[in-house]
Amino acid sequence: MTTTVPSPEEIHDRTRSVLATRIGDAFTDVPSDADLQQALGERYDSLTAMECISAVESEFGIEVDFVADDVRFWFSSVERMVRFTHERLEDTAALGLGS
Amino acid sequence: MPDIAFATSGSTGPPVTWLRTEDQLQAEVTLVHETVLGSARFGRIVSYAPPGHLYGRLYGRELPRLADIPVTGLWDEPLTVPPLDDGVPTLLVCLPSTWQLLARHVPALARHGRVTALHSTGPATPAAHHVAGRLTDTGFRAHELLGSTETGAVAHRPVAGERTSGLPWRLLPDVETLPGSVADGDAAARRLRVASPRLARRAGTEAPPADWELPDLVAPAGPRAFHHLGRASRLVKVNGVRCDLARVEDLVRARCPGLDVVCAPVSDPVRGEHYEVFYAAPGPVDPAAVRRSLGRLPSGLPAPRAVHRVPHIPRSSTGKVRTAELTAARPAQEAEHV
Repeated sequence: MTTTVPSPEEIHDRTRSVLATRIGDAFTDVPSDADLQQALGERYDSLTAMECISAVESEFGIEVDFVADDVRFWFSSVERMVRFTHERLEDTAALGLGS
Repeated sequence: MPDIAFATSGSTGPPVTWLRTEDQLQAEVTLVHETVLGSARFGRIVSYAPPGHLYGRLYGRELPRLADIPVTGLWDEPLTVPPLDDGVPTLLVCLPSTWQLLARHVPALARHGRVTALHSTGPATPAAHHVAGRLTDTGFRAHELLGSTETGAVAHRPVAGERTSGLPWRLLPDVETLPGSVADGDAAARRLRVASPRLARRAGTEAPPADWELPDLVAPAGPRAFHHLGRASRLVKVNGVRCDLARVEDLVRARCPGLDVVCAPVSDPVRGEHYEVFYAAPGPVDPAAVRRSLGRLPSGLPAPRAVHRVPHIPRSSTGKVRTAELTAARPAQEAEHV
């Protein structure tokens, strides 16, 4: 069985959509390479980050390990989230674990 | 030893300092350790509750000091997983948000088998009930405390699984209840009024009050037990931080004149409780502008989870806001949400 991994562009768009739902319109003008905590201040505190991680997991069917994965790094900007998600989906596909 | 000061945020009026004696702190820790935690011998405490507040101070500072237990403070690191791989009997001092983290580590909690979670500062979240339910037949234990900065802990109960929520609260042994005020429109619900030797003394007064009425609405559930029905005041606790919705409404009205504003309480899967701002305006007032006007809320008032513009604020014929109608309309307002 083969699993098609979404392109980074598709992951990017879906990630932005998911974050916009969680964070609101304040997120619209935040560039994808921006540090979200710096750009959004208290709107992207640790608890909002946790909500966004859960939302990305749910959107792409992946699991983030709070011990093994450096969540502070990978979930600090949209670009990093996209890289993390793409790599995780590729790993999953390579291992034949995709649904 | 001078009394220890704990400030309520001022969200329900001017900031107030409440003073507790060292003896009161020790009495509370000892009481909860014996009555709620079964005098368990912990080898480690991991606290997610800031020690500047009573709950964090009691179980992240006083209990470790009295029982000589090493403590790890994670109140500034809510995403950091507690150590779960060494079998050390562990007490986790939890906030509502902690349960989202624990829900990701249910298998590790089950394998560990010697973790006890203490929960307070706000209602147990769905994640708390989920974790408790999944770990029912393991060594994991979870208890929640009900109380306030003014009263200290008043009552306790186990954190129940998803299918057994609604367990009654049991008063702590040194707490007595007195008849509380009757809630508007519901004779069965009364505010929880208590007396105990652990009531705090308000700064500037000579002695603690004889008794104290909490905003919590309760109904009797047998001797020294009650069901919690809600709150009489417009207080919400956002991950344990108090927020008076009437005060936020006043601030919005003062900063954005002409708006019809209502703050509605909403449940929050991470923070337990939260609130959202709804407003109607005669002119073009952008929700982002309303949010910006709240950018600097005083005294640590939590910012709203969302701001919604609505065509009008729905009210009954007597002028009471139909909050359920407002919150039910949220998805349709998504474009105006910030």
